[in-house]
Amino acid sequence: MGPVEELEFEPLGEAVLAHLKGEVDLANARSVRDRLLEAVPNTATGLVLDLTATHHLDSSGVRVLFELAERLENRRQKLEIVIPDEAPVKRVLLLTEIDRVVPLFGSVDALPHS
Amino acid sequence: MSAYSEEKPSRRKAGSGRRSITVSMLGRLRWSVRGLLPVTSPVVMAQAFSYLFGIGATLALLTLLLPHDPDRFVPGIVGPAVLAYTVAAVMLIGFERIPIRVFYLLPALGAALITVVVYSGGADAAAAYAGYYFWAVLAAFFFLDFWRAVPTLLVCVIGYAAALVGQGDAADPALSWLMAAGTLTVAGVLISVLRQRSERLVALLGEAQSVAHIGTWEWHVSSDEVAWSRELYRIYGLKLGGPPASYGDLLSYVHPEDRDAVDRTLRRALVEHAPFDFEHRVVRPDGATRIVHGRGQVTTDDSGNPVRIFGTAQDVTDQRRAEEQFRELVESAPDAMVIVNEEGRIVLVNAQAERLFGYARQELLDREVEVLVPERFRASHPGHRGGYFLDSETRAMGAGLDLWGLKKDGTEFAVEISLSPLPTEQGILVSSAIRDITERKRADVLERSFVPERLAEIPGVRLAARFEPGGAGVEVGGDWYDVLELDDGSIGLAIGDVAGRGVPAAAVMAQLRNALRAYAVELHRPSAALARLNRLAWIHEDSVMATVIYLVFDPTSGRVRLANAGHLPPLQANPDGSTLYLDGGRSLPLGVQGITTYTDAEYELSPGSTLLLYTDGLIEKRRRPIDEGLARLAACVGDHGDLEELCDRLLAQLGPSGEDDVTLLTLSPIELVPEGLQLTMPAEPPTLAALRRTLRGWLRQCDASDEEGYDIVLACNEAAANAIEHAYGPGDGSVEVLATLSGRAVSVTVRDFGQWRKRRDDRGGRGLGLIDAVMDEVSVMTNPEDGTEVRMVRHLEGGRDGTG
Repeated sequence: MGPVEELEFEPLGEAVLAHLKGEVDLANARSVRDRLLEAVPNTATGLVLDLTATHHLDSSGVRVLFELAERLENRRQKLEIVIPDEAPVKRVLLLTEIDRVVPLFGSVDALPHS
Repeated sequence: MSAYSEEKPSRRKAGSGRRSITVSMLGRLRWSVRGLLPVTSPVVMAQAFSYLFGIGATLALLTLLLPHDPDRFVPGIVGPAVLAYTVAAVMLIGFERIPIRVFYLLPALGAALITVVVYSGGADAAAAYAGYYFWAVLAAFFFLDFWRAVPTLLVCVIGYAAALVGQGDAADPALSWLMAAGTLTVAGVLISVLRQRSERLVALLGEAQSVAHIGTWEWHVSSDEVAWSRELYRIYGLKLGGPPASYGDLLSYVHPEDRDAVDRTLRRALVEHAPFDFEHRVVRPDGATRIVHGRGQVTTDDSGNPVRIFGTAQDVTDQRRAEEQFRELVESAPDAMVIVNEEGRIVLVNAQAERLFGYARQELLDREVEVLVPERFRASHPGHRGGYFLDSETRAMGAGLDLWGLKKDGTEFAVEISLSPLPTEQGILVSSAIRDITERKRADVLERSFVPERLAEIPGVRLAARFEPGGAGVEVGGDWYDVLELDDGSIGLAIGDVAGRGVPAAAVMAQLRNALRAYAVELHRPSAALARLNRLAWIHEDSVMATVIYLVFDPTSGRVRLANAGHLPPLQANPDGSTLYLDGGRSLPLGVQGITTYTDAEYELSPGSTLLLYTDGLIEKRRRPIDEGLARLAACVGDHGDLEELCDRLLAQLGPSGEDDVTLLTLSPIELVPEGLQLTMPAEPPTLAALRRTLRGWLRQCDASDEEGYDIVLACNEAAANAIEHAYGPGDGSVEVLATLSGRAVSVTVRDFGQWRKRRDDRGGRGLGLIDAVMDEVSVMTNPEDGTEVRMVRHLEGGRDGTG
C-alpha cells in the first residue's frame, strides 16, 4: 500500500485554504499537485496550504511546492504555507529553503489576510 | 361381427365373400409355389412354366414328322399339345388377369378333351393315361384341397375308364382300375404334401409377422379387395377371420387426422408405381391408438396398369413411444442438447438449444453440426467428429481447450460440451450437452481480480496464499481474501466467503472487499470495521450472507487483533509444533442482522509462529463433521518454516475435493532484530511508504528519538526514491535496504542494481542535499555495472547504554 494522503479545502477570504494530511512522496506527489491546482479557481487570490498534519514530505513533495509556487505566480496568485514549529515536515521545509520562495506562517491565524 | 358391420357401412354384400377367398387362395398358391422352387418372382416362374409347356407341346408335335399311325397317333398328340399351348398362354398372360373359374374348369376341360380324342380313336390307352395323369396333378397343384380337386379327378378317372371301355381294350381291366386308383393316390399324396408345406410356410410367415409386429396386406385394385394377414388383424385389433375389407374399409381404421395423408400416399403410388413408405395412427375398435409404419409396392401389368399393391404394416407404437420419451428426456435436459448422426447432421435439438443458438428447430434439423461452430474451427471440426465416432465414450469435448459456439446472429460464446454416444437402429448418434459458460468465465475473471495477483512483500512478515477454484463444471464460489498494509505499519488480513455463486456473488465480494479496504484505513479496531461491513451487507439490495475474518497484525509488538463474522477460526501454529484455533471474537455472519455487535479478540504471535486463515473448502468434506476437518487441518500443519511449501502441502493433502473453492492465507512474523534490517523491495514508488513504516518500527526498537528516526527515515526514503526514479525503467528491478546498529551508530545502505539515467531535473540534487543535511556520514558509489550504493551513518544521541 502506498502513501495515504487526504486533502480538504475551505474558502479563506478570497483565497483557498487546503489542509494536506498524511504523506507525500514520489508515488503521489504529482497527483497532490494537480489536485491542489484544480482546487484554486482563477478568481481566487491564492492558495494557503496547511501542512500541520502532514506526516511525511520528501524531496518529491518539496519539488511540488516549488512548482505550485511557480504556477500560481504565473496566474498572479499567491502560495502561502501554514506550518507550526512542531510539525514533522517543518525540518524538510527549512532544509530545502523553501521559505525563500514561499512565506511560512505558524498558524492560519497568523496569516496577514485572515 | 355386428359392431364390425355397423362401423363399415360401405361393406360389400355377402356374395362377394367367395371372391376374396379365391384371392387369398391365390396368395397361398404363390407362397406354396415359391416354397417349392428356388425362384423368387412368381411372374418369372409363370413365364418359365409357360415356356416349358410351349416347348413340350412343340416337341410333341414334331414327333408327327416321324413314321407313325396317323389315325390313332395324330389326335393323341395334337389334343394335348393344344392344351399345353393354352396353359402356356394362360401362364404367360398371368394368373391375376384370368378369372379364377378358368382354373377350376381347365383340368376338367383338358380331361374331357382327352376323352373325346380317345373316343375318336386318336389315342391309345397309354397316351390317354398320360394326359389324365397330367391334369390330375395340375388340379392338385391348383386346388391344394382334395375335395376341391375331386370333380376334376373324377372327370379324369371316369374319362380314362370310359376310354378303356370305348377302346374295347379291356384285356386287363383290373390293372386299368388299379392305375386309376394310383392316379388318385398320387394326386392325394401330392395335395397333402403341398398343403402341409404351404401351411407351414403360412404359419412361419405368421409367426415371423407376429414377432416383428409386421402384418401384410394385398389390395387387388380392380376388384377392390384387400386381403389381410393374421398379424394385421391383430395390429388393427380386429377379430381374426373377420370379413375382409375394401380399400375404403382399410382407410376407415386409420386415425381421422391421418386418413388424408394415407390416401394421398396410396393414390400417388397407384399413379407413380413407386415403392412408398408412410406412418399413421390406427384407432382400434376398443379405442386404443397404435402407430403403424407402412411400406408397400405396386405391381403393374404389362401395359403398366396397377394390378395390386402389396404392403406391410409394422406396429411401431412401442418404438415411437420410446422415441417420444427420449425426445421428452432431451427436451427436459437443463442443457442445450444437439444430437448428431454419423454424417455429422443434426437429428434432434431441444428448446434450450434453439434458445442458446438462436435458431428455430427446423433450421437446424438435417444441417451439418458445423453450422454451430465458429468459422475458424470449422475446417478441423469434421476430423474431430469422425475421431469421436471411432472411439466414442462419454467425455468432455476438447479437454483443456476453450470451446466456442456460434449463434445464428454471428456472435460467439464460450461453451462447455460433453459428448456421449447413443447406439440406435440408425447407427451411432452422438449427443452433445452444451452449456453456455460465458457467465462463469466472467465470474472467474471477476473473482480472480479480487484476489491479490501476488502478495506484496511486506516488511516484518512472510506471507503465502493459495486460491484454488472449485472443480470443473462448477460456477465460481465466493471466496476472497485481502492483505492490507496499514498506516501505522501493521498488516490487515481479511478472508471471507460470500454465499451464492457466479457473477452476483463475485460482485458482492468485490463490494465487501473494497469497503473493508476503506474501513480498514479509518478504523483501527477490526470489530468496528466488521460492524460497518455488516451494515453494508444488511442494506445491500440483494440479500447478502457472508462470513469474514478481519485481523490486524502489528509486526513490532507481535499483537494480533481479530474479529470474526461467522468464519472458521484461524489456526495458529507455534514453533514447538503445537497448534491453537483462535476462536475468540466470533459473531454472526455479515447480513444476518441489521445491527450486530462484533468484538475483538487479542492474541500474541511470536516470530516462528504461523497464522493460517482458510475457507471451508479446506475443512468441509461431504458427510463429515466440521470438527473432524479442523482436527485434520491441525494435524497436517507439521513443519511450517516455509510458508509456500506449507500451502502446497496442505492443498495436496486437504485441497480441492469437489465443488468448493479452497482459499488459504498464511502469515508468519519475521524477527525484527535491532542489529540489522534487510529489505528487498520492488523498485516502485508505492513501496516507499512501506519502507518508511518498517524502518520507523526498527528505529523505535533501536531507541532512536522521534527526530532522529524522522531524519534517518527521510534520508533512507530519499536514497530509495532516487534509486526508483533513476535506476530503472518502470516496473523492473529491486532496491535493497540494509540497516544496522553498531553501538549507537545507525548505518543504512541503499543499493540498486541498475544504471542511473541522466537526471532530468534538480530532484536528485535536492534529495542528496537532504541526505547530506540529516545524516552524519554519506557516501555514494556508482558502478556502471553493479548499480549505485548510498551509504549513510547517523550517530544516535543518548539511549539506554549512554554511549555514542
